[in-house]
Amino acid sequence: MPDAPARLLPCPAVTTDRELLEAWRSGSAAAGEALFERHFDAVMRFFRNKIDDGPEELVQRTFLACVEGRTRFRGDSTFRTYLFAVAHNTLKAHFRSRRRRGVEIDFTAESVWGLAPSPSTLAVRDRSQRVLLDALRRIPVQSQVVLELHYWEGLTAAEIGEVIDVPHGTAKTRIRRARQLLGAAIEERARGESLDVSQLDLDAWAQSVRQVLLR
Amino acid sequence: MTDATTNEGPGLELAATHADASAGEKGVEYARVKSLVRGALFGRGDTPVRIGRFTVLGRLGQGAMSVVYAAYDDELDRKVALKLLRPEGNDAQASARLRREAQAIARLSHPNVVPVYEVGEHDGELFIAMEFVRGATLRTWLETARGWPELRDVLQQAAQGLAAAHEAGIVHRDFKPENVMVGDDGRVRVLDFGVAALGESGQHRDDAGVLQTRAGTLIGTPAYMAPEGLARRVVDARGDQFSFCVVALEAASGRRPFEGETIEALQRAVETGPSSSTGADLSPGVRAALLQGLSSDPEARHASMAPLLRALDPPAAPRWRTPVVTSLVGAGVLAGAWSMSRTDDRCRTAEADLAAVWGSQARSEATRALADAQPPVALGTWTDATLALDGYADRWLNARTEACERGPDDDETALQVALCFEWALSDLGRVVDPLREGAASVAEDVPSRVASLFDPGQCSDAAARSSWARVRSQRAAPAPDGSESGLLSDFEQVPYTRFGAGWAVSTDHFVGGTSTATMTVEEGGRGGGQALRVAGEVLGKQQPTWAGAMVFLGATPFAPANLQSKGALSFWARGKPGPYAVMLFTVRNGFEPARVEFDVREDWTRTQIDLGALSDERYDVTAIFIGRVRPGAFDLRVDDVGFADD
Repeated sequence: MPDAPARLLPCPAVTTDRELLEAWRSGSAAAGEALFERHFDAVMRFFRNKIDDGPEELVQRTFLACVEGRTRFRGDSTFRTYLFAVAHNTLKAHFRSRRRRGVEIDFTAESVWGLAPSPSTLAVRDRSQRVLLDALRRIPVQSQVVLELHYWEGLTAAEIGEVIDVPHGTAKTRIRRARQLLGAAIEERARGESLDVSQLDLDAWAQSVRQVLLR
Repeated sequence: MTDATTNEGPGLELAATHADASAGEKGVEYARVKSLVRGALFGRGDTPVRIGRFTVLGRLGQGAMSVVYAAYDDELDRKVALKLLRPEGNDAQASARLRREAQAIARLSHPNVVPVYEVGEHDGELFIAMEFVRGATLRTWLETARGWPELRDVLQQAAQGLAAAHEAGIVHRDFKPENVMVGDDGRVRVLDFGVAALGESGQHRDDAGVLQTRAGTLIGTPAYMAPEGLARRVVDARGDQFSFCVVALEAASGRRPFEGETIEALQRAVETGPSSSTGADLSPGVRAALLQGLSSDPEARHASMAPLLRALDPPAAPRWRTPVVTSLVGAGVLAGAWSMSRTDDRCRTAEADLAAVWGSQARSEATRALADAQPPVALGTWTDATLALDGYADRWLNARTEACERGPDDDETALQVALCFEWALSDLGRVVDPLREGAASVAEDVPSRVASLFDPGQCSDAAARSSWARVRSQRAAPAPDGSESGLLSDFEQVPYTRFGAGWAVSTDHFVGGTSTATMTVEEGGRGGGQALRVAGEVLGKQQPTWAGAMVFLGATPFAPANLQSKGALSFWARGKPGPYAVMLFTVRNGFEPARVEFDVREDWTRTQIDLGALSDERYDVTAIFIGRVRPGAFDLRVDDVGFADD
């Protein structure tokens, strides 16, 4: 996966993300806006299947957090990885703020379905694709984050590790575990929708949904 | 982003692969959010998003298949609610049919049905423009305790809306509290008739011309759905009647008559029928009418909404027209009776309260978390742990039920008994919660920890209860190893106690901006104690804005807390420099002001306020912080809050 996919760019990339970020941090709104144009869609995609309120606050907070630099930018990270790490922290803070009556939300155990039971599966019409998105919402949030970054954004295990702040090896384990959870959730959902998933190739299916989401 | 537009056809071409083919590249929602955030971050580009002749003003909510926006109708100069639906299927024919069905709904005109102004299509998305109702959904409206006369009126109006639709041959299919608006004008309107079915392609008209849905598709919200709908069979007006009765009983008692985490479990619950206590505090006539509407066999329900409407008619109307003084007294008595019955809610929710702490979800979460734990937990250890927890849960529920059946001696005693049971649950939660987080090391200690919990059977014993309350409050100080979260966290768990609270508000809140704040208790305050943290955000503003936060440190009659004699409050906040002020009030025994301090600082460095010699008496301390903060997040900490350990 290249640093920033060329198809998302409004004009040829003459300036790197990192240069734009530094310029934005030192006060250039134009640089900030260019960076925003490049990465808005990815950030929007990140939040859209995870919250049921309007995502604008979290999207805004994510970009603000980038320019404020509260999350450390590892020297060897790509900006996209850094951006997703910030988005991930923003999402965690959001769910934490929804905590009610002392029920601690365990980011690794609680699913978006449990947190916000109204699926925003608007982006796809096809029922089998909707099953996949719905199943993603029903696995623990962190597993959902891991898989969506893997499938939609094409991040490597090492990059995902940076986003969720775990070592490379742990990230690989998390991806494997998340895939198992997703498989189980899909079977459960498919039963409810009378959909045959016995021949399902999870990766190919996810890629077909990705085509829809990225279009 | 730019190339996504190139392969888009206009209007009706609904290719399945075009996920968000509208309003430019990626749909109304992308365009709206992008424009808003760009405007907020860079102060420009906040161009309005348009759907046909409507200008999108903001987002009102989201359902499973739709997003609702507040919008402005440029031609007719009025505000509307605009619902965007994404029809399943991709042929123009299906789309045209959806449009016809929606227009049939638009012809329905009744004071208790939200009028639909227009149905149309925008870049492949079906939109329905309807009246913008100022008010609250029934769900939100019920968050405030309501008296029965008020509630009955709302239910009756909603029932009238349903009845009118049924007469016109329209079935709602998704009647639930979210689809009932209680207007600020007092008029109730039912929303979204048949809309749940519009997203599905399998509907047709039957011989009688009634809009029906192809069997085999689950449409609606399971918790409120009639059994024939859960079984994916055809749903007619009697399905709406069933949903109405579920909503009415939930509104009156705070609890739905059927519960289940899966569709199968719900189906079993519906077949078994409601428990004998369902609707016990309603008048016999209303209760019988609602229970009949809940019959699992549609034939056994009422033939129409009419009998339900009659049952909901106010009794003996002339009594409400007696002279003012008498009716005020009457209302007072009624309100009293109602609030007594609301107190009993704690009895009704006992099982659910317990399930929230140690129920099937907690059990499966813990099992799952511990399965991944390193080192792994032995199966025998986990079995022993769950047996101990189950045993305590049984004892708790039995004791709670017994106390409820005996009934309260008086309000004060009832409250103390209820608190006792809540504390017992809260303590049980402290044993369970680490398990849910996968803390394998504590699994072995579960039986002994459970054994050391307060015996819930003793909650009905005044002496045992009050001595436990004393012991429990002493335990307030954080344990040396930091494992015990301490009394402060009880604020999160026990609504009747108030040991700490934080809020933040931005003055701009009233002129368009918003602010939010949450408070958490964290270990590791600077002096090794606990820290209260108020994290807030000021949103939707370009300019620095005033924000405030208030922290209470107090005690209640049930659990006195002594503030540490050498405690100090220290504030610090992240954000850009700006002048701010801190005020500290100390209040003795809840009423007498003891001290007021005021401190203005030029920057955001830490400020300390010595609590001094507050140890001997019981004090409430209120610290207020006011500052100027940048848009975005701010972070306020009150460090080193502690309690004396005596």
